[in-house]
Amino acid sequence: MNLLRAWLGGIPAYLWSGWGAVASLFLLFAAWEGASAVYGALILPDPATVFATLAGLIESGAAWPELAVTARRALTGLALAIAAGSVLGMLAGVSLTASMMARPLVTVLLGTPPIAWLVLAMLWFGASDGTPVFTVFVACFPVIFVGALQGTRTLDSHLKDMAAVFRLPARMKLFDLYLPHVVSYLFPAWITALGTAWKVVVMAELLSSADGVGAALAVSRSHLDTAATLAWISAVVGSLLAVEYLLLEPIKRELERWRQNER
Amino acid sequence: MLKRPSAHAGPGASVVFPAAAHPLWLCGFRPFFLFTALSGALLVLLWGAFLGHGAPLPAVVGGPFVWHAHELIFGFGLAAVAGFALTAVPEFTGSAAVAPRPVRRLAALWLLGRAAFWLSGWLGTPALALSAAAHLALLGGLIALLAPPLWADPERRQLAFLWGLLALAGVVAGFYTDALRGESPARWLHAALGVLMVLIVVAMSRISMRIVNSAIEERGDSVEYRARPPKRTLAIVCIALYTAVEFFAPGARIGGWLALAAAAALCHLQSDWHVGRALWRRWPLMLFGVYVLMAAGYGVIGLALLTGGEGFSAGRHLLTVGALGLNVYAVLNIAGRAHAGHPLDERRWLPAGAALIAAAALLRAASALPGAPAAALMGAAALCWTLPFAAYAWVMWPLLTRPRADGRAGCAGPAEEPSA
Amino acid sequence: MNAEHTHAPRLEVRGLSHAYALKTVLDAVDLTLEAGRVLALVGPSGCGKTTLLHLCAGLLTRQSGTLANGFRRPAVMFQQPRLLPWKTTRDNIAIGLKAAGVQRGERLARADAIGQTVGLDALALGQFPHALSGGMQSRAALARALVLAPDLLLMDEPFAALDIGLKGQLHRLLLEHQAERGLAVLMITHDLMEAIRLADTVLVMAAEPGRIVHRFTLPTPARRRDDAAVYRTTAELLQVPAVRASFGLEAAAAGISDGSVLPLHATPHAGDAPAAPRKKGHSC
Repeated sequence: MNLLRAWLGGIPAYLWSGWGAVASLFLLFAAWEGASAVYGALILPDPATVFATLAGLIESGAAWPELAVTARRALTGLALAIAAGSVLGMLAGVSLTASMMARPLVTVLLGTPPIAWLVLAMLWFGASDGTPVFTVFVACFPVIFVGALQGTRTLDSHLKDMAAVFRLPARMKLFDLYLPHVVSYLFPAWITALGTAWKVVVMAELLSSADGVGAALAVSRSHLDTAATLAWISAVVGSLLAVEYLLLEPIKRELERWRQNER
Repeated sequence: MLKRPSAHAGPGASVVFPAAAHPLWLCGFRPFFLFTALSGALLVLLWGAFLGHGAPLPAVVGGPFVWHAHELIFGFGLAAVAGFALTAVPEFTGSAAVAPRPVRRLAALWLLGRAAFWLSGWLGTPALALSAAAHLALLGGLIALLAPPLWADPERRQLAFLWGLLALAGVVAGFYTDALRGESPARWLHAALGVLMVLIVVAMSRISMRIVNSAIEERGDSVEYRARPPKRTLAIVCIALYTAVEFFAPGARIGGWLALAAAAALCHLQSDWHVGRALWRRWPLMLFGVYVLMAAGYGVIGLALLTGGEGFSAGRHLLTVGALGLNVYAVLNIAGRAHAGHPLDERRWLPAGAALIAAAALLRAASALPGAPAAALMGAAALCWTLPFAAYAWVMWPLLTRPRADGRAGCAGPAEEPSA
Repeated sequence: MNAEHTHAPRLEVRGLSHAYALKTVLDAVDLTLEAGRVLALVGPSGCGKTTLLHLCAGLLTRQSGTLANGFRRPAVMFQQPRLLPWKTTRDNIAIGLKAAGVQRGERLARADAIGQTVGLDALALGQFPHALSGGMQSRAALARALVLAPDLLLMDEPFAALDIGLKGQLHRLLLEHQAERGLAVLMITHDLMEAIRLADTVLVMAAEPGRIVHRFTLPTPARRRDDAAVYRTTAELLQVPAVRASFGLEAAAAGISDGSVLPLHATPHAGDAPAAPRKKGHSC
């Protein structure tokens, strides 16, 4: 209850701190505007045109269904990767042998380009949802796995001794000792994975699907419609920013309140 | 309450002659803050008379608008900057106060600059050149006096003031170069406004740390206000970028985005100020209002540029009347009293004056809206602006032109009460 | 840890040896700790003190010898505070109670009460450990051990990192609590004076391999020792050849003959005879 109140109380301050991000976004738009002025609207339409196109897409009702399809695929793949990566990573972290064994495998997974996985996925799953979901899963899994592994491995053995002498039961060890520590590694990994998921899903859709933002991008590319292309990109990036800064970042701050004491 | 005439005068330095030892020259802020308040009231009165009743103004290069902006920025604004810098820099760097003689010379240069510029319409180029020389000499003198202590400070923390003064000297030089060539020098005035906004952000962080924390202490709150450099730097960068783009490409949309970035960065800066109830005390609130008005000004400018609509002038005047005016008023009241050896003025007229200045900014901004009764609103705005500065001159004249009552020397702050 | 059948519990160690891989760190250690007594193990770093304590705490598995711990509620205070950084001080103190299944309200109330007695105010109790000074963290660690109302407290150089003022305060706190509750304490320290200030019995250990080379019992209760007595006893103890050798000090200064120095009650049975270094010196 106290936690909830503290969290709610922190929301205005958190939202207000978003002005810094807004300022840097505006600087980006200024650079965009400048580049558009240099290269011409055909190559790079200016931000206002793009946002107007996006508004048009939203008003016409074209945007939401595509975004929903894309989000569904990205989040499904991400959820699977989070579930599998976190659990397996923690299990691997507990055992020295398992973590020794896992490291090269993770390198293999990380080193394989997502586009290669995409080709395989297209062979395996065809044009179904399975293709983007699988590609997202494979791209996100190693990041989360490594986070969980590192988190579990880096837990101070002194604290484990402490837990032993105070006879913490297994449940408490998990929730009071391992998880709080591991989460501080896992959460940044999740956020990184979210960004990866968003990028990879659009790529997968572009090449393999008939719907979703990626497919819409393919259409606008074939029409040489730069403004629509940028509008779709803005929509994807904007929704990623919203999910990250409105949902994940506040949770992360709350979870890591014990780290810094800056008000 | 023991009065000892000239007990605080330095050894050997102008002990006897009343003119030379006049308390007005005791510290740099004394003449310059009076100049600021008097010119602030008078200039806007004249401007209001011109707008409302067509009263004549001194004819200058670029016409009445250039006269208006030049006087309020290089007259009113520069006087405030000079007074503040001459007082604050020695205090911040722990160096000796500026002696009366250079203060007198700088004050004479400021008056000369006014006279020469006002007469430049009748007397032509020589007067304009004289005005240029007077303004540059004033800024050059300030730099010559203040650069050594700023540079000698071991950490060089206050160098931003030096860059600010140099930038002001640069825009003054640019203004007069264009003016002497017969071109419209208005863009330099806009750049000067950008420099002043940056200087305000720089100066405010130092003033506000003290003011806000003492308000917090009074309330007994446990939070502490810290002006954090990264946020300030972001705001300064955004303002500087906007100012540069406005200078080279006035009216461009890219400037609109940059102005919005500046507005957002200033809002970001305000989060340092969210210290709870203490913010609602008069002094912190006044300083906070400066940031609010500045953010609003850049926000309106940005929207106007991006939508191609009206309102640019409204944004500009939120910056000049609002941010600059309120900040100058606050500094005049805080530094002007503290360094004359008086406690802060806790009477009612003072926050009322601040409210009038904020009202003046809003009225002036509203007058730029399409369909607004512009003349009436501008007249009201001029009145709202004139009153507080006239009141300041009235209240502070005796304090600034008489010896200190607390027996302390020069620019020293009020005697600290010995706290256990 | 099988319970003893006698009324007063005791910790009894006989012929305890321990080795890490091929290195013997403890060699045939004997000690007995009765309820309500304070036993200090003193020795240079690396002499196996911590291993011995970890064996007693059950953090290491016994390899040879016997270790009978009759105490029912042992608690440990480590060298570092070892507080969970993501829990408030109050929750940290209460962690042992939580593990024992005490209800939330009650355990927090008890944590608060014990926190007050070790000098942690409400503000400190509500803060996260990183916001506390080292001294405050040590107090919290002490409170975390004491809140369990232990009958045996195992301490591993708990005050080593503190300045003498804080050390003195925590010593007093500990002694008060110990006297009130009849707590048995086994403490490890490399600080001879700390041992003499707090303990009823002092065991001096030497390294390579870790073994007990000297033991003696202090005649007056710890609470009645003043500074002068502590300094004097420390100086006297430092004249014992076995102690000097253990810490790698030069042989005792001339003028004080070995035999006449000690009016200390050296316990008769233990083998303090092989006091002289077995090898050339103890490098620990």
